[in-house]
Amino acid sequence: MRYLLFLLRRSRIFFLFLLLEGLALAMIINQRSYQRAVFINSTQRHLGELLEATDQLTRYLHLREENEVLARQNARLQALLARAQYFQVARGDTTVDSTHQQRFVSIPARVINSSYSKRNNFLTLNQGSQAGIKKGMGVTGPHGVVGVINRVSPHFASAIPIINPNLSLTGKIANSQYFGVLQCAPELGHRQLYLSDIPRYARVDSGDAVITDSRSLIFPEGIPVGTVLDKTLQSDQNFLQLTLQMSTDFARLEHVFVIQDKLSRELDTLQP
Amino acid sequence: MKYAAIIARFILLVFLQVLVFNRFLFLGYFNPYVYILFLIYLPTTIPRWGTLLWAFGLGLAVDLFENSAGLHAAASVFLAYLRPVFFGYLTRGTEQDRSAINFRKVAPFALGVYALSCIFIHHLLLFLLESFQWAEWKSIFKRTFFSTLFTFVFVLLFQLWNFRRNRTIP
Repeated sequence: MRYLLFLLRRSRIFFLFLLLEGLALAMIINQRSYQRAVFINSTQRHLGELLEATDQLTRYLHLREENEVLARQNARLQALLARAQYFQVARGDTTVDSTHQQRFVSIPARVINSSYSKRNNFLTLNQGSQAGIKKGMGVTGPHGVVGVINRVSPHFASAIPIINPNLSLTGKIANSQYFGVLQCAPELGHRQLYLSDIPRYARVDSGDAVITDSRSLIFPEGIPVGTVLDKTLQSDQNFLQLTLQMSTDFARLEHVFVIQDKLSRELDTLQP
Repeated sequence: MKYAAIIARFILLVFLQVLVFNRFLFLGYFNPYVYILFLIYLPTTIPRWGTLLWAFGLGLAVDLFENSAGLHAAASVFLAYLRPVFFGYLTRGTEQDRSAINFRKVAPFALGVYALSCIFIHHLLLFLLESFQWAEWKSIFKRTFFSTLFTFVFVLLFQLWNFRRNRTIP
């Protein structure tokens, strides 16, 4: 009898262990199957504020580099502007209604929390639905593509970066237009990516630029992704898998832009 | 009084983990998870069900900041459940009762082996659950190995500090 009671006492601990472990696993599976705010996440207001406060401490360390990067980006944007003006003057015979020309609008935001060394990486941004951010919009940084928004709260948003295996985008080789699937892999780390399903006969050299493709319906065409490092034949022998050096360094990502496509709804009606 | 000290340690370690150690990266890749110091040194006089609940709360608190619902909670509860298995290292060669181990009086080497075992078990489960795919076993073991070493360095530093403090104040 005493032994039986002893056994029950022991198994009581075991049942508590199973209960807690089951609860934790349920949360993991829940978060994995639906990428939305079912449980706790860092887009919640108070956590977001705390993370933002701590981020302000570390931000000063990178201020100088960040300024340089922004200056360079400004220069690039100015160049684009000049080209646009030239374009309008050259076609002086037609009137261009400038309000309908704008297709992509970028919303500036700052990364207040990020991970890049885990398997499932995430970013938290300091702007949310009040700034016009919606789920599914693309995120770019000063050097190139970053990821896609997956959760939005009024003041904060979280994004899946391209270094998360749950996200795959299309990318293409800038000079030959061949397109393929961009995927990260744990063995590559946070500076490299795979671009797979490129036809075998495509001429690819290391150093070729890879850019975003308008097929993904998230980014405008031509945002840098990276440069080709290496190519190997896939196991099916028909396609090439390229290893890319990513242009965005997720270890020191700070200022980003959330890209809003004003024509996305119109495109959706054509491409179900 | 005992619980006040435990709660203080709980809050301190969660904040250290979230605000400091999550930003520490070894080779730009491996994170130390120093918060499990709380579980390693949780007094053995606390009943086992209490230990499990503390572990669950600790893991959940870290998950809250890491965007990883349940991941650290699962690994922490697992460690808390298996912890008594490693008490053998601490009581070997003495007549000590396993339910009343004083971590400050244990030989440093035994304490090191005990801490290393705890860290390894916790990290292995953590990375297994994080990846959820056995196909990535190479990456899982690499992460477990290096993160264990990295966490262990910090645990050793803490032990050294604790050891010296005990000598100066007998």
